[in-house]
Amino acid sequence: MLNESLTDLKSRLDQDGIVLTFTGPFSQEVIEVLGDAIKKHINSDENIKKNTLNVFSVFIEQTQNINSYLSSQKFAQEGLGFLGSGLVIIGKTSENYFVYSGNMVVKEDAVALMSMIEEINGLDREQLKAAYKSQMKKERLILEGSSGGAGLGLLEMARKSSAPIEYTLINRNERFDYIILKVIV
Amino acid sequence: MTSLYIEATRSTPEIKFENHLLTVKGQSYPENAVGFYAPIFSWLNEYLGMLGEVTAIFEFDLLYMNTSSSKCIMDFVDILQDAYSQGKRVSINWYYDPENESLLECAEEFKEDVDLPFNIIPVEGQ
Repeated sequence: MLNESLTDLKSRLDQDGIVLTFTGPFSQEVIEVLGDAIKKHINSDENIKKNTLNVFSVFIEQTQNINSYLSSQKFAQEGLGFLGSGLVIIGKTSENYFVYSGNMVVKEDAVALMSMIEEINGLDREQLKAAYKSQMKKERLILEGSSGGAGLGLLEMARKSSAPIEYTLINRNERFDYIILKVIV
Repeated sequence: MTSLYIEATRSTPEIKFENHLLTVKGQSYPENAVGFYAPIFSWLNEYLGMLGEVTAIFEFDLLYMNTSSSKCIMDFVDILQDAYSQGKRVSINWYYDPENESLLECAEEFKEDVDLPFNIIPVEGQ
């Protein structure tokens, strides 16, 4: 039975243009290995060669954001265990690559994240550049290591993407939502 | 001054220092960028403190860096700028692949805020 459903899953993924998908506990090692696989794939794609690094960059910011959020003390205290794992999907259409990510998020963080995305989506190229630069200076002052929040990573994704960042929130229970981000590169 | 060498990994660049030339080469996207760069900055501050009349050259030859590494490289440039303002002879050579605009943009953004010699140099076919 599992064989059949896996075959179904595989043909479904092919239909949707998915070239790589991972679900499970994220770690830096997992991110690096997947990142290499993506680069190899795109480098061998004659049509979409020029934005290899943009896809890679969006992938890295998205997955490192999730990794740092899910491994943060605040989230770890929620005791979610395996539910605290992430999802990343990379696929392509005839013109673009897309990067999806999914993870559990505490509701109050989801609200903050949504308003940040809305704000970023309202900026044009020049405003994005200016916002990136000022955020960079702000985060350097925080001196919190690399986890200065999702802001800079989201701005970077927006700068690399060719369309607004899309998000979907799915209600899980009174405490958590599941958030899906889609970035088109 | 002792030399410095840190081997590249998949997510961290090679750091090499000899004869007043320091190179940062490769990719930078470690999980904890500050953790990676902090010891380099301690070394750098010590080195710059002892630097005499010689010119020290800092070469950046990066293919990719994530946002938290960018913050660290900006700190790196600031440290060099402080030394320059104090009369030390330091200069930056920033190499980039013309097909890779984002590393050029980064360099231009860093350069905007400083007045030390900062050369941005295209290298074909990296």
